[in-house]
Amino acid sequence: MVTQVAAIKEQLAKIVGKENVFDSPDAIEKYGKDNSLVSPGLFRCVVRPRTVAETQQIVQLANEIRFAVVPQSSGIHFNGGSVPKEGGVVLDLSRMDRITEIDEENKLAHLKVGVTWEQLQTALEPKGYRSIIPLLPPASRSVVTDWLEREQPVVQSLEYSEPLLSMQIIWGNGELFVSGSASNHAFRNPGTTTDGVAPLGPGPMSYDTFLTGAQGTMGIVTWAIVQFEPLPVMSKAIFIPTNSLEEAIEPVYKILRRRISYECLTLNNINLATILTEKWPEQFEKLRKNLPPWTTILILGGLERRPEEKIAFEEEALREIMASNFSNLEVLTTLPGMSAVEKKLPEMLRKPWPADRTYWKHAYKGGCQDLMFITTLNRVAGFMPLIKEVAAKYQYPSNDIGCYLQPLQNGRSCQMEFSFYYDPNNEAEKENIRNLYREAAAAALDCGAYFNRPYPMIADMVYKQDGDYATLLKRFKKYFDPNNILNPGNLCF
Amino acid sequence: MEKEKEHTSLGLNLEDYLYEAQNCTGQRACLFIDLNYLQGTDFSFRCPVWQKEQLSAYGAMGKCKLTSDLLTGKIDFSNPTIREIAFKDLMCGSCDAACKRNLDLEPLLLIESLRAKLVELGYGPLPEHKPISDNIEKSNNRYGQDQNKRMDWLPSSVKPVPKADILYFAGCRACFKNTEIAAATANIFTAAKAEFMVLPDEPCCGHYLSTTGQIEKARKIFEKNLQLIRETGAKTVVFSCADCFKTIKVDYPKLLGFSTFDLGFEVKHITEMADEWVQAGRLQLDKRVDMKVTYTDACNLGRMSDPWIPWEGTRGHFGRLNPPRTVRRGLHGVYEPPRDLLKAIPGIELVEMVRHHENAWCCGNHGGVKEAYPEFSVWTASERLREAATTGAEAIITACSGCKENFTDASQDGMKVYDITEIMAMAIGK
Amino acid sequence: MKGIENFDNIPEEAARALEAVVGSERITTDPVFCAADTGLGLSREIFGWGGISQNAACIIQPTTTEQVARIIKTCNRYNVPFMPVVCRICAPTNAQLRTDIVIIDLVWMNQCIVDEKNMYAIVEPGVTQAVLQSEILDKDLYQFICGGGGYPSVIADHVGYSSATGILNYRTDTWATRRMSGMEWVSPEGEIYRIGSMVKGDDSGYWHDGLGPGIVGFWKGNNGWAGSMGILTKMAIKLYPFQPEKLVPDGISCDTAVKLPPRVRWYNVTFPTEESLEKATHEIHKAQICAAVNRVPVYWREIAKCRGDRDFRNIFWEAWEQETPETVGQSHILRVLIVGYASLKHLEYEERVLMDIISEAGGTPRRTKQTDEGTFYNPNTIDQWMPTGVFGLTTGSWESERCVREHDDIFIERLDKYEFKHEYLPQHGEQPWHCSWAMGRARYTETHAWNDGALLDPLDPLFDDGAGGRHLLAAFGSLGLDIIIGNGAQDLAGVFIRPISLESPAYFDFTQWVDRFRGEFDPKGIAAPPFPYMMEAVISGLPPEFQDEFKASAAKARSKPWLGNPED
Repeated sequence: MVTQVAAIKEQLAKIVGKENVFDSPDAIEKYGKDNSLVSPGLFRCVVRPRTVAETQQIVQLANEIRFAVVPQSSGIHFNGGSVPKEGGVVLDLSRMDRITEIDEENKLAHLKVGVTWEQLQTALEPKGYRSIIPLLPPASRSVVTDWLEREQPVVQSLEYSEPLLSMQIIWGNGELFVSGSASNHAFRNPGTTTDGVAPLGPGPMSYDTFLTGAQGTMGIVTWAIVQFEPLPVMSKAIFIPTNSLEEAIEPVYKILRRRISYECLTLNNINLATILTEKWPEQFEKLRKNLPPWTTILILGGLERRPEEKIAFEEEALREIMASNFSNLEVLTTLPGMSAVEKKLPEMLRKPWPADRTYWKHAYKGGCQDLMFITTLNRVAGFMPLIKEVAAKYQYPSNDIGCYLQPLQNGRSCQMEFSFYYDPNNEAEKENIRNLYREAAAAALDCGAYFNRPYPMIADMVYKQDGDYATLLKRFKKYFDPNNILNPGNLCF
Repeated sequence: MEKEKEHTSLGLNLEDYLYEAQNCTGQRACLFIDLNYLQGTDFSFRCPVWQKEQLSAYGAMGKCKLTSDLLTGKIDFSNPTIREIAFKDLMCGSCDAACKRNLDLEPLLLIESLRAKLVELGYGPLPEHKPISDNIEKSNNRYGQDQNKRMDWLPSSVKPVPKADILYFAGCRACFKNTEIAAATANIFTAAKAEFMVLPDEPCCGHYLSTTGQIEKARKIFEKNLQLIRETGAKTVVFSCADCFKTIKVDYPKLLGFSTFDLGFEVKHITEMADEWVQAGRLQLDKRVDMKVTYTDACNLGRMSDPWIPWEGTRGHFGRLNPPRTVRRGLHGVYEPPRDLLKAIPGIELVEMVRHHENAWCCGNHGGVKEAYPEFSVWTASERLREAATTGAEAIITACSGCKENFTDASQDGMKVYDITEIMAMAIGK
Repeated sequence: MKGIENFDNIPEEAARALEAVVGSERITTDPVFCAADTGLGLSREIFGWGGISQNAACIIQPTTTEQVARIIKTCNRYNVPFMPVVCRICAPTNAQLRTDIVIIDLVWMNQCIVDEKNMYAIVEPGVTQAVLQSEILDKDLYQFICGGGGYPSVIADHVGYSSATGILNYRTDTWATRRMSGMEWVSPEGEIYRIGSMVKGDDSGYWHDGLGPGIVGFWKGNNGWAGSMGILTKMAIKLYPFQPEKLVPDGISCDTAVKLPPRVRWYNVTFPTEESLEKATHEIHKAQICAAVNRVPVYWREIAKCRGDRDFRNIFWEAWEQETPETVGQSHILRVLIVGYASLKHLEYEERVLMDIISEAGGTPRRTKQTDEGTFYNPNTIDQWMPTGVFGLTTGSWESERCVREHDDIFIERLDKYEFKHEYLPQHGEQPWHCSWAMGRARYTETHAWNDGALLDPLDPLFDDGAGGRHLLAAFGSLGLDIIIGNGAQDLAGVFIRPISLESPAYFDFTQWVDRFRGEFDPKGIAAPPFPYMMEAVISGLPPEFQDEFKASAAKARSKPWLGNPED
């Protein structure tokens, strides 16, 4: 075994250089776990390639010698998908961190997989652009990985159902591939006439969809093309406080149907308080007490041309909707007791969480387990009481359950996210949350939740409900990763 | 040596439609109503026989492909399936109007020519067509009734004059079966103080023969009838039957080789005349008739009634015709006068069905289909009645005796069926 | 069975087994019915006139997914090939190259369920684009209809035809895979699978990707499988917020249109130069306004004049022959649509921004009819495709605007190369149609040349023996191959009218993936043969000199190695 490990390390070192292969106890501890409740995994070593060619060679070697490869791109993960389950090596892709191109004419950015949100927004903002972003991701989180993992954008009025366009892939069988219209011998070289804008093909299939939600089990994305947008020059925040989640739903339906606002999300007081708190713990307690039980936040924005007019017609239309249909609800332009939140929030929501602050989900108790799934807005109300019931069973206070409702695609569907906060140093509490989480997931599943991200702690129950889909996935996996070397033990593989 | 361009003509020679047969794009416009008028899945189709039989062969596009195969010898004209496909067609012209939204092919003439060809070769008409055909030839009316009784429908209060500018041509159905239509029409003339004459020995217009492919027989009757009409000296011939109206306006010139404008008289439907009279103040439709109604455009009054203009010439490169050809698309059909008349009657609430004007669904009583395929014919009518029912109307109004006949046969749920002349007669207190 | 039973090309036992699935009224082996249903549309030109089209052996018309599955299982049991068909317009699936095919006619699977609140529809294969649009336009929703017109099937359009290219996908999800929100699939082995949130049931078409890896891309690439990867029996389609006022139809064919309500307006704008038009287009994208942005070529204007009783083709040609490179070169027309999604004031705001942009670029707004004939329901695609008796030679590509401008130059140069005096109408230096997508992030271009159908139709007195080969060569061969493989682009010809095997390995050898999955899911090779390699079969039947040019072009392109990531 030792010999085998040494042999693998040696081979890897030939590919990436000795300094980029390491297996110190610190490294094993660091790379073998993440911020989830998934138990840490053991593995042989970490390997850090810099180029696509190196990455491909590693995967080919893995096929030859048969060891698992667990891709990680940004060193900060939340859901257990990148915790090694069956040994092998961790493939740290963070050295592939170049923003290869920012194409202002087409508003496209060509990113290596290790490019972080902070890098990207920092590069775009001085030019007057921004990338559409999920809710306050960590600054060092990989942009490509977030989209591959199906984090959802906070902006709803632009079509961002799958934000990645062409991408380069190393399949589990070691073959190199490029999907989309970038699939051409000369892409980005002299003589090419493609910019990788179309994600389709080549040929009768679009390969990009196989990589999303795959948790690194089908292939490794080495670069991808993403879109970016002009940065609004003027913004106005609108807040609609409600006492219940149900009350928030119909206004969201009607407002988004009219394509009003850029950012739109609904948070309960816990989550909003964790986001807004700067002074822990006293400000947090005050905020969670004083904030409305639920707040829908809409950010109206104007671009370079006539921005105030854009904001004006959107606000007028929004107020008309509220006055005609929901006259019992307030429409605020600030939150009482929160100074300048209306100025702060638009800027916050367009950036990652600052690197120099504790991540907002960890600020309350240090740990956070999220339960997230897709559903439709009109089904949302049914889940809250279910989750509370399960929480109560595990003595988890209901007023400690964080909730984030992200409407998607102009209100066509939504992602519900429940957050369970815990002390990561308390093993008993962790076990309790672990059990609570599974039972809550089972209850949500039975109630119709669609788990498009079946992370390790619940993958078994999700696939049990739809065995046919799991069978189908295995048939594809047989070709993309015939030796099952990519992140085995995840999903249904 | 430059190759010879294709000489072609508009008529009933099937070979002249090889171009149509080869150039059908398979777009399927022939199966759907004009897309801008769609209101959902229901009532989106326009071709009854295709909707009923559900195979492409029954749609115009299938017939185009089959005609190509027939003309190239891949299929023989004697094939019984070909016969059914050709004779189950209602010849309603819906596919024709639809195709011409984008292309200038001639699907209806292709189908008519196919029938003519089958009859010519002895594979038509169908046995079920024989009784009516024989009646027309022997008794001068489709029912085989005594022609001396043809004008018995005349109300005693109505007195046609021996000679007038207007000749009223009632048609076989209105004379012998749906006499209420002829009587109502006569009352309308009287109410408008319009002198009219009739032909005491009014013959069958011959519509049945021409639509069942019996072209030579039809031609003989057309010649004879035309002479009869011309001899009356009438300036305007008025019809209450859409079938007779279209036959004389379009098919007579078509088979006899001249244009509608050379008939020697104007051809009008009673709704056109009545509309003119109402606008001129000559006719008052002022008696209240409380009824919610929907109006169904008869194929022969609407999309099929554009004047006939003969044409022959060459087709050359890029499909260009020399000389240019006027395309009959149904743009000039009689659509508005019936509607204007209904709207003019106090108490009438007129609602439109989904398929109206040139998109109207056929009544099912055309092309010899009622005799040869009675179940399909009644199904077609019942589909239209179903559509009428969705408007909330209590009555369906038509302007063709053939339509009235078939809707009456199909009506089961209490939907009343009227000819528009009957409604007008109610509105003038008759 | 319907019609006359004939078992010359299908074993009777197999036919009876199929009959047991659907009943005797929904199946036929009558050669006449089969002949009527094959060789229509575009396939007529490629296959029919080329003399290689065969008739199918049987037509079967299921009405449920379970029937489809049983039919396919029966075909597997008896080794009988099948071909799914819905619309017949442009898919070569409407031509058979074999006589033993069972056509699975899906026209009568036409249920459509609309979830108005959650903005999606679940459709069966027989639902056409225009019918779906008509179901939703009065529900404050819209979807866009691609260039194939309103008659094709929604499902077939999304997975078969290019990227379902259309004018209105400027402000909707541009790419077909983004609009498909789940599906039900019957595999070539006859197994039924559900993808996306449709695993939850028929009322759940709100989410497209899977439980874990999304496989919606399996059915829709740059082109599609054309039936060779089974049948999609249901698809959930995303619908998009529109505005609540009705579009009222008006007119009689061929002059029908919908009257636009106040919150929907077209704007025609002329510019002094192409550069100023491009500049304005770019500013429109940056300002995030408009619902459709098109550059309109001159010949569209000429086609639009052909109405009423006049002979369509004569009027068009008379007008077109008056044009010269000088007159055409003066025309730079931008046509944009604004929708006041939020309110009338929304429209007014976007209009003010548009006028600012036009003024800066030196453009002039023109009087514009506020009716629409062909955008929302698209009934008149054939107008442009078929003015000369045969489908026009259409080269088109989609990419970023910068790349598409380069493609245009290449297409036009190649058209000059293939322009034969009597076969192709002179372009007069016409610039292509441009249609912006994805808020300007992509552009679609089409360049047309119209061929003389008389030369191509073997039954036409003017038929020219060599014209067909030259037509095919120019249309589907080197013109497309050279540009696409050589320079890199995704294009219309790649849909199903270019041999896909000639593109690999230039595109990272994707055909090996195609073959792997075909081997996995259709080991017997009975799903829509010879797709996806239909054009290979056609080209192999061409005279050697035409084959050589295809092969030379492809070899030239494939000879270039992958140049790698320049930054590495």
